[in-house]
Amino acid sequence: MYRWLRNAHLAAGLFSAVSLLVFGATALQMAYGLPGPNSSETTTTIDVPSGYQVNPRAFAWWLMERHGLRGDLVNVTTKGAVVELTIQRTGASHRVEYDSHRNSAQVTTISRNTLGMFNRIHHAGGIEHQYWAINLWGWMLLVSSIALLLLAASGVVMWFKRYDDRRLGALVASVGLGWGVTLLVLMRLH
Amino acid sequence: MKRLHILVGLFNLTALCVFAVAGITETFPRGERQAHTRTVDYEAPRGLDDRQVAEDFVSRHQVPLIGPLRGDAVHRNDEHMVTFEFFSANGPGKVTILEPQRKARIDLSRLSFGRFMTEAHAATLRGSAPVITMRLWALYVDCSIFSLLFMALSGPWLWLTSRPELWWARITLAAGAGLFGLAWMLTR
Repeated sequence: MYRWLRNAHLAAGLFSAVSLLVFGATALQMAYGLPGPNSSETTTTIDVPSGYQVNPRAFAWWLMERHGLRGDLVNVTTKGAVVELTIQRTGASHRVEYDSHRNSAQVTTISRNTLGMFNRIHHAGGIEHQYWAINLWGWMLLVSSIALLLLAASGVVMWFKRYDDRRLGALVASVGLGWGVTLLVLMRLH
Repeated sequence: MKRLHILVGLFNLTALCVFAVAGITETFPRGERQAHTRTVDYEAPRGLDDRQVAEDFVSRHQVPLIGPLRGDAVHRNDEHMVTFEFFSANGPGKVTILEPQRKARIDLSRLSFGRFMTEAHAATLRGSAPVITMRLWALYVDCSIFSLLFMALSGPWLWLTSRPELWWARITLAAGAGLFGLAWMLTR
């Protein structure tokens, strides 16, 4: 039983190690406002065939197929002859302004640096994104979360089965649980 | 190192579970909120301006604010009563100070338990409101961030120094890192 638990703990930990490191590092960056996330911006103008102003979604699909823009389609607005939309993924966002009178679109691409992308990965939840690749992050988040629970449960059982640190571990666990659970209950009951 | 890994894990058990629940909640987001209204006893101290009254209320009732009250959150409603909006770990809400009755009404758009855990996991000491409950919780979360990083590093280290020959462990690490790398390539 102990051997099985140990292997399960090791497997869950190793599989999610990289993800958990990224989540932890980005949590640290956000908690302390550390510098690091940055982005660069480029703007291009492209010619657009006429007729797309009546169907912004079709226009977005055309951009993705013809110009390789990848991501979820969000923030679609139409102001007269101008259609504005954003196609975004963890590493970059494309802000598009399409003027149907001129049959041209201005595409402003914001590309995030490594730390910026790590930050977006931390916020990339859900497994029903339009852009299928973003769902990978959602699945990794789910697997890492389940791994955390498995790590916690197996860790506690393994600790208890070791006689060496039972008293000290019980004290430490009691303090931590008392601190955390009490505050959670107080917050939730409010 | 092993002892430290175990003790750190035991201390941060609650936070790790909160992080895990937040991750699961965000994978299957639901927008459910419950409207919740209650009235509590409150008498505004004399001599305070509107903002100070709001802060006094928050402090006395330990409203679990996610962040300090915004500058424009406090105002007077049509009945000239002090009103302020807030965002707590349980969701957004509004407080109306009913001065004649010496009471206050709290209207809350209460989040589900999963969303509450998501809000709680994001509490930081640097950004927390001056509410002792939240400050203590945020301190615990801050400690847990360091703990998570420590365990994510010490865990593989312990494996490498004790059982590096395990082929399936190497494959597991490579699989997790590989999947991360694949997702990175596809979404950068």
